[in-house]
Amino acid sequence: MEGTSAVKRRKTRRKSIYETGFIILMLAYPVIHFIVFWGIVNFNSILRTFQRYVMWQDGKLVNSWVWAGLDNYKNVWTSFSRADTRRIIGNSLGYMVVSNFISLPLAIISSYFLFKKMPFAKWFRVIFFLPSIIPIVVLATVFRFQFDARFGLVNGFLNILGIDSPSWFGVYPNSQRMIYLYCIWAGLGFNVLLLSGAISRLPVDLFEYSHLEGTPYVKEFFRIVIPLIWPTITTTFLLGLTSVFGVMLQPMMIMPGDANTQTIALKIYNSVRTANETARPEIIAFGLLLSVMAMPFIIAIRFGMEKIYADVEF
Amino acid sequence: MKNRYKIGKQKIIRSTPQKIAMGIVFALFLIYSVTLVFPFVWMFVNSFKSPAEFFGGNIWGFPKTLRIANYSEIFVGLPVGGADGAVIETTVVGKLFGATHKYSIFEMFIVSIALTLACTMSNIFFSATSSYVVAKYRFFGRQFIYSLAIFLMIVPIAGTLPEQYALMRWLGLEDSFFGVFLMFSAGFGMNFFLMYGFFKNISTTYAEAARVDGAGHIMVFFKIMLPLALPVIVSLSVIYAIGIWNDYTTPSIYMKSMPPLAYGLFLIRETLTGKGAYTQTFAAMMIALVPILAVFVAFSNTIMENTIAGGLKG
Amino acid sequence: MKKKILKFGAVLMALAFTLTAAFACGKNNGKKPFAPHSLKITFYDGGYGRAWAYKLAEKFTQETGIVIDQETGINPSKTTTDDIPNALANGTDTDIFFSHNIIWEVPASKGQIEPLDDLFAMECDGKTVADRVLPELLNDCKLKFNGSYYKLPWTNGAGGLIYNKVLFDKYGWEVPETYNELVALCETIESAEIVANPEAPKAEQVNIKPFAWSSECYYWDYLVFDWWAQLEGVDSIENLKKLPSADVFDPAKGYKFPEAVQLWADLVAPHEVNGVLRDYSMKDSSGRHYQAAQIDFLNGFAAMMPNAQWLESEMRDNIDYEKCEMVLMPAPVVPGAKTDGEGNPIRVNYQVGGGDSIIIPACSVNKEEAKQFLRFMMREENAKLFTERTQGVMLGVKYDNLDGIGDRYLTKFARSVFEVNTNSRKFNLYSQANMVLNNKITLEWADTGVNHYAELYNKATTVDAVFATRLSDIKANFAQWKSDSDKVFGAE
Repeated sequence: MEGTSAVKRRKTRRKSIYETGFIILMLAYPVIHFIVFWGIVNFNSILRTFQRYVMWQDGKLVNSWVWAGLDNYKNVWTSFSRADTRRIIGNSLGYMVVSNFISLPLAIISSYFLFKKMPFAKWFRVIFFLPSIIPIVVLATVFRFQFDARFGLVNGFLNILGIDSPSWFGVYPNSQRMIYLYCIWAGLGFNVLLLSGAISRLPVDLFEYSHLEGTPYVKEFFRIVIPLIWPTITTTFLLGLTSVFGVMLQPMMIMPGDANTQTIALKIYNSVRTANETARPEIIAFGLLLSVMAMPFIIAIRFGMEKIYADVEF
Repeated sequence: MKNRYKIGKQKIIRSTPQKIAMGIVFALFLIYSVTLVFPFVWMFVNSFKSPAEFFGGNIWGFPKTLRIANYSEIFVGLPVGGADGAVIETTVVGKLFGATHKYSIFEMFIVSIALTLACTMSNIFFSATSSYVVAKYRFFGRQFIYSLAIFLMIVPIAGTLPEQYALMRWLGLEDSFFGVFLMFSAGFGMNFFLMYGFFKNISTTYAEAARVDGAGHIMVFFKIMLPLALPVIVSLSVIYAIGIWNDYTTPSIYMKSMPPLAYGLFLIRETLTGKGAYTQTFAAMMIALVPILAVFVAFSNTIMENTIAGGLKG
Repeated sequence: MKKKILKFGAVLMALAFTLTAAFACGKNNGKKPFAPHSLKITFYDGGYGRAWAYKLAEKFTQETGIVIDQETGINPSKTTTDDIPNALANGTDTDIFFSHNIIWEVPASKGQIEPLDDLFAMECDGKTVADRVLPELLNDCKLKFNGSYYKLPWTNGAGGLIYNKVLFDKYGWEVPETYNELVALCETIESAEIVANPEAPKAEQVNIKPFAWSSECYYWDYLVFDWWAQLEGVDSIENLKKLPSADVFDPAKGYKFPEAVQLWADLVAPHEVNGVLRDYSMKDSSGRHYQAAQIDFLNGFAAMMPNAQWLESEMRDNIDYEKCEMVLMPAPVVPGAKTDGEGNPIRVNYQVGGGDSIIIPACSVNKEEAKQFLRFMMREENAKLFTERTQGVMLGVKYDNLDGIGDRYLTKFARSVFEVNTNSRKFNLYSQANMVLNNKITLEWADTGVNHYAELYNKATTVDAVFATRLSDIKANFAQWKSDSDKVFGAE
């Protein structure tokens, strides 16, 4: 596959300059973009965490950033022992658990059955994908409205069955569980799409034998499907890990203004939306410290997952 | 990509346990599909009711009188309920580019369309240039770029949002269309990997033939490689476009005075539900959904057949 | 096929670039300098509605000739409060902001807010503007670091329990004057088992409940803060606002907020009365949208609702006065409330939104005109116009009476708000203590945003647990928070 470049290497020096120019041209914008929007932003963020804003001192207006040493990190570290901080981290970790250990397996199984020529499989795939294209404001409104005690479909349905419905959103951790449920309900389709894509690319002959023999689904699923779509599973799993630092819209839309269901990302987002600048260094430090703590785990998981099955891709 | 598993017409042989399993899963899928579709049907029906009828107890039935005004009012502009009668905000199309915070749904559509098209195209284009070069050329730093991109994708860094905002402010882009467009025009994201995978595996025969004919690197890229990658580009574009179309976070920070639909719907919802106009909120949401669903139906085959996640090697 | 896609792509690309170009040029980051001498006001678009702004602007333009365009000069926004800090820092074409509680002291210190000392000294109704402002709000308009005025208060908010007079009249219920009467009333309403919606199918019928509420908003605070002030006295709370030491949060040293919350929990959290389990709230009150709860209140499903001055104006499109005529009741007096020299309980009322602000951005090109508008608005007749068009909401200025307000606006609700505001000692929980400015501590609840009423109602925690945790947290961290905050804002 790398023939071109090997061939090129033997060509004239002028062509090589032309080639270098081409490479630079093609990479220039993405690299500059990366340096500005990632490099500078991250560098400034790190710098900021070692600073403190001084507004007034001895009755005089100072208005400048000064060196603060590790003060911000110390405060963040102490805050880890506080109940509200722990809850924020706990809620955020929950999204990882939900997406990787509930949503993902459900999506794999669903994709497998859709693949096994379930009637109306195409329709199901389309319907499952619907939440992915609908704005979250609409979805979240619809979702929460269904659980209203007087106007909701779910409560109305339970009422007909004579079941007394609990307070779905009234109290933590019920409200948090409902947000997780929302994530599964609304997020399944996208994973099904990715995994169905992977399964449908598997070579057909692998399945022919098992079809004729009537191999149990369970066996075929674990022996053939899982190992062969493992790279896709790994990718989806790794993206699921990032939800720890990424999820914010779901709690924001479903439980607006509620602190119990806050996440790491939501806390940071709110700080940009509203809080005054003097409080920001600590929030940045909070985010950075957690990211650094998570890094080894993520990298370990990645390499660990790659080792499980031999690298195959179709 | 080789042997696609064709959903052929040959007889499907299933053992009894398989039939049972298939039946159970089918039933579950059906229920899940109903939960996805029914709330929207319910919302559609209720969007024609007057608030009085809805809150007076007709929550489940069809509307006794059709209140078309729920829709028409949104088209003309939202009524400003006032103690001395209503002042109607006119939202003529001519005001499109200057108006701020007027919550006209037309404006939001146009902004959304422009934002989605612009961001998707720039992102896909720059992902294509960067991934093509990294996949097909050997140069100093190539491996580094690739590893760094992987690292960035799986290791999220939280807490940099405040400094990102500060940077955008410094650039004078903290509340502009162009700023958001710039931010999304990156070349090293998920799309980079998916296209990298494609370019890596693509045959170089055409390219070499063209080069023999005297075509330059740029010609090869634009005339041969990009057209070959077209199916991938289309499917990635559709998925990426859905992401931009539904992005709430970025515009809620960087495009406040010109909200696209995903964020604007939130403002509409707050305005309407704030005075109890739930049924009109439903109408606004239905208006927002129809074009999305139409586009989705048109593209559903493209989306369903071309989406791949693949593994992150390297 | 491929050609078609290519063509389609080309068309899309052309469209994208046209639109991008159009937006890039058409929009100036909101910094477009407004025409001089033409004001733009931006206000929080909440329960007060918008009519007041249109009306005041119209009158102001007639009187002074200074233009406030009814379309482009008046900008109601749902997100004003969040937007203000960034708008002040980035530049804005707004000349006056009306907002909910913001920490304005930080942008004021940075020179992003126009000082209003000259405005406060201007003549208004034969006195100065400063004289017009309610005394309990005047000091909060001053930046404590340099003693300059930077804001005007927006409203003199009143909240508490609002009752449905139609139901009270129909069933002969008396408005409770004491806590014990309130307790008895709730039991009367509950045990009467009156069906609220007889026209609905049997399965959907529910009884009239004493309370409709939602945990989305902190509206119970308005009642419970009153009880707190009744028990502890307003002066003690004023002292707490300065945060002299951690002791102000110690119940052993006279801190009465936990006691007030306990009274609430005893009444509202489900409990047994004569061996029967009683829940005086509408089903799933803690888990519902606040608008849903308000709508139920308007439709006669509940007798009372914790809320505030804006309720009638906010819900005006949905009010059927045959079903609901709302009235704000003075907070029932709790046992142990402080009394005056003659043994009568001292009436107090929490000033809802005491931190709400009206400010002029330093970057405004129409500062003088903006000040003219504010001076105009502070005049009693114009304050009354505000009250008229918000159906009872009062500005943070002195009112002698409500004369001159059109009868159709002067509802029972508007009158009751005026009565409560006039006859109570007002207090609020707005503070410029360094620790508050630095987001280290909040004056009411520990974990802001956590709805403790929902937690208590659902028995997820107890009053004792909430406040014991808070006290130990404050005691452990007070010194650290103080020193951190003093480093930013200087020693107090």
